Amino acid sequence: MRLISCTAGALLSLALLLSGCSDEQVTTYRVPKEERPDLTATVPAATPASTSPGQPGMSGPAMTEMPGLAAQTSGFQAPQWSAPADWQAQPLGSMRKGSWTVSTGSGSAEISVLAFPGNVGGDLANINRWANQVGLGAMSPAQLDSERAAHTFTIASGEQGFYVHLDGPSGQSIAGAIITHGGASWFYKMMGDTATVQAQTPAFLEFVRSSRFPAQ
Amino acid sequence: MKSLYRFLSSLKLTVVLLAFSILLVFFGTLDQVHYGIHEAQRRYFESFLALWQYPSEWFGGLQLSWFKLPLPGGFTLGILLLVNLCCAHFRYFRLSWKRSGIAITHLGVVVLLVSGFLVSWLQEESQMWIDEGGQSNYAETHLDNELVFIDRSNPDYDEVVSIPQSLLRDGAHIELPQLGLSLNVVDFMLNAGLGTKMQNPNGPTPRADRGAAARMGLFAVEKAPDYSDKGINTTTAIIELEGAEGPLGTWLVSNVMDEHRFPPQTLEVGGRTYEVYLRFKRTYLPFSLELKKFTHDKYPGTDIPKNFASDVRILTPGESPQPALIYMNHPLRHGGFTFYQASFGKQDTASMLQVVRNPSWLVPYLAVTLVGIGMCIQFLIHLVRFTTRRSAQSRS
Repeated sequence: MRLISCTAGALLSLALLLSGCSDEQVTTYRVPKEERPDLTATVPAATPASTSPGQPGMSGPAMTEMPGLAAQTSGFQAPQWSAPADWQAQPLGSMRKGSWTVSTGSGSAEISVLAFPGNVGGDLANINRWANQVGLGAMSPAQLDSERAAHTFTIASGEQGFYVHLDGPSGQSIAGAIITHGGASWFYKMMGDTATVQAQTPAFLEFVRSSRFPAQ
Repeated sequence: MKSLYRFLSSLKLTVVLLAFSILLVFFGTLDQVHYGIHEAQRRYFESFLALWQYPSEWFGGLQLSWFKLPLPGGFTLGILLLVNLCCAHFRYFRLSWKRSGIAITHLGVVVLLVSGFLVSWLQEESQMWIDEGGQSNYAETHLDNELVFIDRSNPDYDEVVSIPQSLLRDGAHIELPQLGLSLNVVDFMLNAGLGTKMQNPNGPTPRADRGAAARMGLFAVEKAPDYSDKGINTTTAIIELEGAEGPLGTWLVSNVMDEHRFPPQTLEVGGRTYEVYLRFKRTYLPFSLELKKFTHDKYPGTDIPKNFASDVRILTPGESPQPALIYMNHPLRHGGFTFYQASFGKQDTASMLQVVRNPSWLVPYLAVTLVGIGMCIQFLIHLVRFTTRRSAQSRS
């Protein structure tokens, strides 16, 4: 009988342990410095991750695609546009509404069109992120205002946008444009070798201006 | 006490418990359709009491969906089976060499039941995404979240204060003396839809007056949780922060506003700057994995996958890199973690590894070995007795 009491006691303790251990606490810990992701450059061309067969445990959703944002941005209808014939179309995703690469004798560049709800932190933060990608320092609000005043344009469906051209010291450049439509920010970006980006800038701007958003 | 002992050691109780186990598996399997495998496992097999509800989409569901069937949960059945087996063993079993196999088999079953508890208690599953050429020192799970305040001011490390999702209930008050502030959870939504006033002028008034949501006019509307296997909930919270010198505003945090998509929301308190995220719960490892190459082979002329493999290097501070190949059914076991090849993405240039930490992973093997040895011994004893009797009969 004593053995039974001991067994019952041990099992009761086990039950209490199992229920008690689920109470989690606030913790503080240190981690090695992390490389900060770049906001617009790292948005993946969304290929849904496939689940490999024969593996134990849960199947993995494509965690590079965030569901709420993906659901919102997948509802943003891409505008009609005229992309140059020599741009090679690439796969798209819910946020990536347009994707091309272009190669010239002097190098290559990637063109992407991404849509996000709201202003995603503001124009200055996004332009400075682009500047950082090509090794340039941050732009001041006053510089951004003058860039905006100098490079504002109207696209085919009437929305206004502005563009910046950023030539980095490392031989990489970005030509980027931001257009606001229907509560979303549309980021048009061409990034690649400076010579290619410079050569393709007129075609890029022509492409951006040709955008015609559907009527709301 | 004697009657309780008789009840607990009753073989009828064994039959009833096994019958309830079958019912639990049956109804738990039915509810996987509604809750997905993880939630069904938690509700049915990692609980003391399970409730099955008549599905509204079944025949007569509108009239019968009020019906709820209570069932003993997996923990209850497991504990009772364990007690029942122990009591029955000591009540009916007299140890002799002829029954030694049965004793070992019983021990194996006891260890197997205990291993079930240990696995549900100790095992952690998460996922690690790595791009080719990249490396990662953490895994994260989309089944759980954490609210974190990150101080990046030190050049050598980042300091993280992590509040588990389980503490973020509506109306919860959390003191954070390490940050010099306190936190009130105004609203916690396991799943939510986010929208902006610009997009939806008729949407609810944004409640955050600080951070990215205030700048963007972002509001959150609670949605039903998504329990599907591929579904991920947009977990969102409205929190109020208060420092020693007064209120620090109302903030909207959401796992959809992650560092890959949005500029960080920053908070200044006590002369320090913190980034605030509600993010998928992370488990940091004492080492990093670097993905050298992900391979996705298909059968020639088809899109049918033949093999997935991740060629990785284990990078431990102060040690030379160790190469390893992770492929289907050949996980990497290192540092108490097991890495399975689970998924891939980005046009086959990124690999997802299932990361499992289970300190008790050897216990089920031990249990099955004990059961196997016990059954073999018992079979051999019976065989020897049978052949001895047979030869004695033939001699007579």
